[in-house]
Amino acid sequence: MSFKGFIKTNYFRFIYINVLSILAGVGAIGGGYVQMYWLTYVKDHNWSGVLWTVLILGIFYIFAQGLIYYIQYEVRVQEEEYNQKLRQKLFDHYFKDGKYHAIADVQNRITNDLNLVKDNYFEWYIIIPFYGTMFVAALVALITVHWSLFVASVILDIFAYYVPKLVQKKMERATDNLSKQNKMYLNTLSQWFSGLEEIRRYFAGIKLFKVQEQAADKVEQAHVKQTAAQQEMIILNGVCNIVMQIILMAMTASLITKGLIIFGAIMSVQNFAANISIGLRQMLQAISYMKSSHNLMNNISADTFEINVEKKHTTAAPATIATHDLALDFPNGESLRFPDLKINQGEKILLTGDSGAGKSTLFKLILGSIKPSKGKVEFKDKKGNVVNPDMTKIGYIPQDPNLFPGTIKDNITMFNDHLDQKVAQVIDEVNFAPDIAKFKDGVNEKLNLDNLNISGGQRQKIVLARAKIHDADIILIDEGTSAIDQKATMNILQKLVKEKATIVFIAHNFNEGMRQLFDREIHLVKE
Amino acid sequence: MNIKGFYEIHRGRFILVFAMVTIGMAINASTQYLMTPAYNNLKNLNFSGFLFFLILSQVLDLMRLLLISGSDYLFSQQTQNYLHKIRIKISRFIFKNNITETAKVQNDLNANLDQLTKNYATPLKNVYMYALDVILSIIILFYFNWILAILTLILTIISLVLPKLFENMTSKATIQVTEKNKSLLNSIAKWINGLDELRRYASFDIFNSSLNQSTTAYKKAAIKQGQTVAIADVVSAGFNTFGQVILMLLCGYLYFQGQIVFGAVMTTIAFSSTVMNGITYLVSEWNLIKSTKELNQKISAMEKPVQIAKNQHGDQNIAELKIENLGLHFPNGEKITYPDLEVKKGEKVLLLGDSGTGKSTLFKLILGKLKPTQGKISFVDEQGDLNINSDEIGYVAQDGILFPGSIQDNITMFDPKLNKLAEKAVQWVDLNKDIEKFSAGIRTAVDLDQDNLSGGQKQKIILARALVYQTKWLFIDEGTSAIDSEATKKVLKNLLKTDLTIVMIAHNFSNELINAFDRKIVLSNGQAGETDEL
Repeated sequence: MSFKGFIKTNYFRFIYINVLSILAGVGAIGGGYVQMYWLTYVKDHNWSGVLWTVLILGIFYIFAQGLIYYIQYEVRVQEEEYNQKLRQKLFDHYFKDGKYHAIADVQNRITNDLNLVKDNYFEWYIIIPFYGTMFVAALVALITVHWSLFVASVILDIFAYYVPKLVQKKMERATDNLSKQNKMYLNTLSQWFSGLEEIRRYFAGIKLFKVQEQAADKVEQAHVKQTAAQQEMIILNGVCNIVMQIILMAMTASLITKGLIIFGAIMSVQNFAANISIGLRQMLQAISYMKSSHNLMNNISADTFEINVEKKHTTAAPATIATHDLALDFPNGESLRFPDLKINQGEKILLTGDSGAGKSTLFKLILGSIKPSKGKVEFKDKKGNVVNPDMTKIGYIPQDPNLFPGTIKDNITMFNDHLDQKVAQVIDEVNFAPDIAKFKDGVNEKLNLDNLNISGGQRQKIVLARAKIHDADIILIDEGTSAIDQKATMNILQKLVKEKATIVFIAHNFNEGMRQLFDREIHLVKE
Repeated sequence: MNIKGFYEIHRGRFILVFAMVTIGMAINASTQYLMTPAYNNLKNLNFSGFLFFLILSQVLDLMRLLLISGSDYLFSQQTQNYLHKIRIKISRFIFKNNITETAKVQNDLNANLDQLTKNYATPLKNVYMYALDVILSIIILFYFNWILAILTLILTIISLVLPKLFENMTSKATIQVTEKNKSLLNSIAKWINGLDELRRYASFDIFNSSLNQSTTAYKKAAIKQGQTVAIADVVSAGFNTFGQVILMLLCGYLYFQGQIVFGAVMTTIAFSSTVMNGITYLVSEWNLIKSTKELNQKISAMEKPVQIAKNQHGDQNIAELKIENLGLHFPNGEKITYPDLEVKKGEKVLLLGDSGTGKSTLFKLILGKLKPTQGKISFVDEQGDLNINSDEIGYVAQDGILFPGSIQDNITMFDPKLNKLAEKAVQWVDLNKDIEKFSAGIRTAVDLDQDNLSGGQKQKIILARALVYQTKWLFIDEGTSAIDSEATKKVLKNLLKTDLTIVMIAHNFSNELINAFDRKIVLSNGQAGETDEL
């Protein structure tokens, strides 16, 4: 995300916006200039002059005021188009970077962060050509009236800019102090009022009230001090303003009485002087606001960086999985170590172990959604050569299966129309047909993810069907039947073990009959 | 918060503040007015005359500045003093009504009062100031020429009404943006949630197109919003320009007709914009005050004086605790019923039972924190039922609360009269050895942020607190769970020696400890449990 990107979204519009802002800035000062003549014509009883100047003045003001709103609209269009482009890039990046992304983070980036940059960067940008033009045009206008006015107003503006800095530090301190006292007050309240029952029991209310009063007193005094500092600032600014007015108006009046400049200047000169300082201040403020967004913009840029998924040379359907020295360290200092495992083609394995022994983690390591801190997972093809696995051939059924907005069929085929004709068959294989019959639209029933219209067991069956329809050679099931009743579980298991696919099944509470269906059991122990 | 309250905090200061504002605004009007003779002088090319009125006007402006700033400062003092009084009342209300939720307390005592300061107190003064400003300006305009005053008022009214016409349109557009934003968030949640799965099946297209649909809808709504806002703004800006043009023409015409002096042509524009801006500010400040109506009512309700109960030592009169037919139904359908129980003064009873049998709930019922749905609990003496303030019954919780202060303060609950007793209590609860290790001994400060005490030490302090107060009836809910078994034995020995009535919930006590009690009550799951006399 960058200024260049913003421009590139639509070159023509960007130039157009800038030209209009310059025109609006000129209009604002032009109005003041014409006003000068209006006043002179009034003084000279020149009716037609008055009429003309008022008309031209009106047009200038419409230009200055109306145009700026129109410009804001055009800027908004440019921003929204740019943001839309960025959002596409962000989604692309998030999909392809292969990393885990918390929903809240993605939501924040896509909505809040982009809006923050819009409010604090691009919306401020347009201030610069507008007020910049105003600044320059006001200077030019003053020179055309009289050079001495120009010099005086520049000197006075510099003076007025630096004088308030004298008390600025004091004001910042007062504000900091207020926020500190506020925090302490809140802390006191939380420490004392959370034990209210205890205080009542020991009739220590007096102490509580005293503590509250003392803490409140400090906040209240900090408020008064802050007001004092603010008012000092206001008075200082006000005095500067008064001095400026007296000097500029006296100079202008003196030039008028000497006949060196036209009469109307008395009204416009102070406006021009004010415009110079406003223009300058607004530009400086805009620049400081824009600077403050740089960090956020860089962070966003890092997320929009385009990822070219290197086609992993060639991928192949894995036949066996082996782990070597596999270990994972967690940030909190805990770590998991796994024994070396070998899972052969076609094996039906029951994976058991204490909670926390790392059963689900092992699956995630095999699937590559977590990277190990040590050791590796190796996939081999039928000939025993190490290969890059084709991940669609490894089915994974998590405890909490993921469904997507769409129909049941979409969720089984993962939106791949080519698989449609196989849907009926896999539904049958996972015992899902009786459930389907109950839906009004059958497999075309739309899933309502906000208010889930299917049971936990049905969810697991959909994901099981998803693995099967993609011809998974290896299926990793994490408590995949925990929400399905015993009879149905047995039924599914019996069908599963007849499959030629390799199956690794994490389960609790399996009875002896169920255990017998598996070739072997791997038991993980927590160290 | 109300005007009367503001006045009564410090009557003299209140009157001074508003006197300063009144004088300040009168001076403000004359500052502008004095520019009329200044311009008249300039027209006649009389420089010294112009300079005289200019400086006079600016000196008056300086006075206005000092008066208004000074009044702001004094008003801030007045407001903060008023808040102080309100805080005292609210904290008593919180105490009386047992509001223990920290966030709510902080909100009531801080955030809400800040809101009132910003949206009620400050606007109150501003409304007065702007109203004076507008009225004085209108009077001067009338004095110049009545047509100028009427025109200014008409323009002001139209400029206030105009935005209302667009309000509907702009708020609709804003609602659209909010809704599209919500549905964008929703669709992000659904698709990002299964990102791993989508990657496995390389379902990029559906991911991409679904999300792009949502972002496009958002973009359209946002642009539409920009458009409606721009239209509304352009129309008001156009009208304002139109108003100014009309006013300038009228001034020129009146001057040509000899109806107003030349200086008035220039000052009219200043007065007229004072009226227009002043009324706009007035309306927005007034709206702020109106917006606090509900909050103000809520706070006023908390300001009502409350009676804080004194310790009547009713616990000393209790001869017996009787529990009959007691039961509690939870909203989720679960229910607990208790066997009928009696505990006599001076008895030491151990309350046992599996988790979920309602031991802690029984304490809460006895202490009045929960209301039973059936049966009754009564404290009686020879005459019959006593009306006891449940705060007077001793209670030690598993995770009792400590306060910022020394260990001693925490034992005496900040009552210095009990300091001597606290030193003894330290020995009763076996805390003396722990305290010796601290350099400040019993005066060591309890640091709630750094947590300088162990769980066992905290429990000992809380037990000592209960002992120092010599409440005759003491209910202890796992009050020794974090104290090691050796120390627990000592503490219990000391406790059971006293003449206090003690009912204690405990797990994992050895037989020796269990037998030290007079008897035990075992609650069993489900319905009526049996009491087991030793």
